[in-house]
Order: sequence, then structure tokens, then C-alpha cells
Amino acid sequence: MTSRFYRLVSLAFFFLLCGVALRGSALVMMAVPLLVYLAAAALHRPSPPKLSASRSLDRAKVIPNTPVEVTITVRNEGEFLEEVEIFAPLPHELSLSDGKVAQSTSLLPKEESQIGAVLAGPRGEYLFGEIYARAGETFGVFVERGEAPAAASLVIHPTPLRLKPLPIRPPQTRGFAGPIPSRQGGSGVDFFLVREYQPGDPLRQINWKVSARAENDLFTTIYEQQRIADVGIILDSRMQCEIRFKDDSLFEHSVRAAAALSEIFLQDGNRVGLLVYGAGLSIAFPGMGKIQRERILQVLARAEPGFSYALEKLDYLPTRFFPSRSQIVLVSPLLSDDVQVLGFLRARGYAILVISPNPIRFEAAASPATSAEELALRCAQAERNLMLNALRRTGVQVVDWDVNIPLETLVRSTLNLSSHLVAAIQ
Amino acid sequence: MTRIFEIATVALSSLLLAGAYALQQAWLGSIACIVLGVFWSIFNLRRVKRLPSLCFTLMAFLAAFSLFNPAAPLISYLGLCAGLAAWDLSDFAFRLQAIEPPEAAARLEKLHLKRLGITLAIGLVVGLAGLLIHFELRFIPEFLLALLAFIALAVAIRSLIKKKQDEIGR
Repeated sequence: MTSRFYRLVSLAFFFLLCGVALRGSALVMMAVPLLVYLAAAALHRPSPPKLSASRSLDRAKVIPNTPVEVTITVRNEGEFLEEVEIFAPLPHELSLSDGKVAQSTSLLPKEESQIGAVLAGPRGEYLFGEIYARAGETFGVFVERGEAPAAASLVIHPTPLRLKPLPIRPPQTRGFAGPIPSRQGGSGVDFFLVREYQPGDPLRQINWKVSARAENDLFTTIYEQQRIADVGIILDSRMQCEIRFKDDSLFEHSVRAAAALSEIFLQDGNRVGLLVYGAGLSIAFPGMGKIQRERILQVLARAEPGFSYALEKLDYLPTRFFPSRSQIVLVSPLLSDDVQVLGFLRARGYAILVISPNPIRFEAAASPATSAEELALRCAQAERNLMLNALRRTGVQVVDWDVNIPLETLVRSTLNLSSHLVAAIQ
Repeated sequence: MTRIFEIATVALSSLLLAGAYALQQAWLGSIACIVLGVFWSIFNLRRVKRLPSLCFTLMAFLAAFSLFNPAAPLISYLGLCAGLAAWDLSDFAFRLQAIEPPEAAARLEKLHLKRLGITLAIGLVVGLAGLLIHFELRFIPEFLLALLAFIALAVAIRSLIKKKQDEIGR
């Protein structure tokens, strides 16, 4: 029933009451057209709408703010619906850039109606649920409500960053050929060592210069084998590490970096896994190829910063998830307690690369600092530098990433410097 | 079509009620009916959603007040019927704007105008019969009849509301 029903009933009561009270038959009769109108509406009262619906998206996986066309087809499986309002609610974060999500129409039995909308939104995984319908008769006095499932999902992947292959050197590699030097002699292109000739060595690998210096011996040049490696990417989604300013979020930069890193490692043929550590543990188990890329992007699309008392510190990192002596890439702004944990991981033989979005520079860029704040920022930056240096001393490669600078240039310059240091430590 | 009927019924309603007041030489009432009719037409033209309902309520009260000195109850009755039609068409025209596609809107418009015509015709016949056929009732039977009408109306409304609440609860 709508407000029109209550208005009509109130007026009819008013006329009846006044008519009886004042003994005026004409006043009582004034209620007649209203009651006839109500009776006519009740006679044509609709039955609950029986609808079937389907929702189709022109693309199910996109990057943020890409328009996605959604078409909802609603079919009347029941009686004639004189007036029906169809409403297809959107997830809160998605915005409507064109079209509509509600439509009023009239549907004959087995007739179909379509609603078209163009949506866009930020990174995330969005599930569309039911559509709702409100059917009424033409007098607009009685309404009936119904719903129909029209499930669909839209995954908005993080916007990828541009990144070239990174020079990583994990202590242990896998058996398949790849781009990572394996510290083992064999077929390859980079020089590894020279040893005495052994029967079976290819003649073209004999090092004639060294052999000429010896009297009777021949020497063979051995090249370093290049293999693929296990790479575990850890995305830190602890709420303590998150800073948000208006539309910009530090976590969003971390997600984009993690997406770019997984992309380049997978492109090189490596076996890559992802762990999102924060409110809970979201895992993409290690794998290779395009399907793994999709799995990782799916996990990243869902990743949100959150808080958990159990995962407040990195102490509970599930290291069994990463093969021993593999490469770990941690994308985290870092907290002071993390240094010790990363040191332990390093001691257990993992090669660790930390891409650390700088929260101090991010905050400073978002809101211009006063002179007093400037001093505070410098102190905070000095403290952070000390922490990062302590980390570097344990043999961890650290990229202190000012998110306003492209990661590509920063990674190149930082890793070229630190790889010598890491090699010396190893 | 709806638009024409909408304007026509508003004008008819206000003129009939103004006429009913004019017959009683209650010029203030006549002016009030005409002013209300003008405002109602403006609201309809500007497609203001809520105010036509208020206009109809006021028009119904004016129709009721015109009966205190029943010079021409028939005219007041016709004025109320026209007001009811105008109120219905105001709301329907508003809803019709949103109906898509145009074929469905045309189909719905035709159906509603037909249905409204029949409803008003029945209302007019029943009402006019009630106004024209006079018989005297004593207080007790009249009171009992009125009580019966109240109870029947109250039971009908309560059952409708209960049904609605059950549906929401489910």
C-alpha cells in the first residue's frame, strides 16, 4: 500500500464521520467515489512479480576507472505487470558514468525489458546480487515487491606500474632454464670458471689462451647456468602501515608495485607466489604462467588494509609458504619491529628484497609542511634511514621508494648499488 | 492525452466547486476554489510531485464545507469526482513519464484512462443514486448502519495492513 491508500482512507473516514456526526447524507455520499476508487484499485491489485533476470558485463576484468557496460535483462515469468519499477543496486564503490540502474516499465507475460548502464570504479572485486522489482496497478494505491537473482562479478585489477626485469640472485634456483644466474656451472652465457678439460667437454668450450700457458693440460671455460627461481611476494596490508589522503592511499601504491613485480617475475618464467599479510592471510600459491598472473591479480584486487591482533607484527609470517633459500620480495612501508624479523629470515637463507613506499615523503607531499613540521619530518626521515641501514647491514636489499618518483628508475639505481654489497655478504 | 484530461479535470473540479459556493453566494469559497485550481494547474505543469495531493485534500475539504449549506450537493459531488480524477491523473502522468519504452507507456495510458473512466462512472452512478433517492432513517438504525460501515472499513484496512506486515516479516 502506498501513501495514496492512506490518504484516500483518511478522507473517506472524514466524510463518513462528519456525515454521521452532522446527520448529513450528502457528506456521507462524498465518501462513495473514494471508496469506489479504492475498490477498483483493490480489484486490480497486482500479484507479487515473478521475474527472471540476467546481468551481463562487456568485460569481467578491467583496470581502475575503465568504463564497463552492464546490461540487465528482466523477463516477466508471471502475470501481466501493469506498472513495474525495476531497480538493480550497485556496489557502493562503483559509480554510474552513463545509463541507469532503475527503470519503470510495463511487462506483458514472457515480455523482456533491458536496462543498460556504464560503470566505473576503483580497484576491487565486486559482486552483483539480486535485482528488485515493485509492481503496482495503474491507480498507484497497491504495490507488491519481488526480487530476482542476477549474479555477476567484476574484478578491477590494480593499475600496473612500468617495471623492467629486476636483477635478483636467490641462493637456490629451480631446475628449468631461466634468466637468473644459478651459481652452478653449465650451459649459459656468463663466465663462471675455468677448470681442467674433462672427456666429454665440447671442444668449442676449450679455453685456448689458458691452455697455451700450461704444458700438457687443456682447460675448459665453464659458463654459469641460468635458471628460474621461486619468488614469494609479500604485500603488507597491516592497517598500521596505511596512510590515506583524500583519494590517494599508500597501500594502493604498494598494491600496484606488487602487481608490477609479480608481472615481471612471471614474464621471466619464475614461479611466483603472493601473500597478503594484514587483517588476515590472502594467498596465491606459487605457480607459473598466465593463469598464475590472473590468480595473483585476483588476490590483489581483493586486498584491503586491515587490522588483526594476531598479525600485528611480521613474527607470524608463514615462511613454509616460501621454499627455503628462495627470493622473498616484501612490499611494505616497514615498522621498526620488522627489522628483526627480516634479519631472522635473512639468516634462514632467504634472499630478501624490500620495496618500501616511504610514508614520510608520502605524507609530506600530500600536505605541505610548516617549518616546525619540516623539522619533525627530517627527524622522522633520519629515524627511518637508520632503520633501513640496519636492515641493509643484515644483507637485505632495500628500495626506499618515494611514491612520487617512478619505481622503475629508483629500483635500477638502488639495486645496482646494493647488489655488490649483497654479493660481498653472501 | 493524460495531460489534456489532467488539466481539464482540474479546471472542471475548481469551477464546479466554485459554482457550488457561488450558488450559496459564498464568494470567498468560490475564489478559494479557483485559486486552488490555478495553483494545482501550475504544480501539474511544473511537475511538482507532492503538492497535487495536498491540493486534492484541500479540494475535498472545500467540497465538504460546501455541503454545510447544501444548495447544490450534486455540483459539489461532481466537483469532488472531478478532483479525484485530477489527483489520479496528476500522479499517473508523473509515473507515466518514467515508463519505457514508449509503446509500453501508450499501452498503460490507454488501460488506465479506460479503467479510471469506468471507476468514475460507477462512483457517479452510486453517488448520484444516493443523493437523489431519499429515505428517512431514525437515529438508532442510522447509527447502527454507520457503525457497521466503520467496522467494515476498519476490518478491511486492518487486514490489508496485517497482510502487508506479514509480507515484510517474511
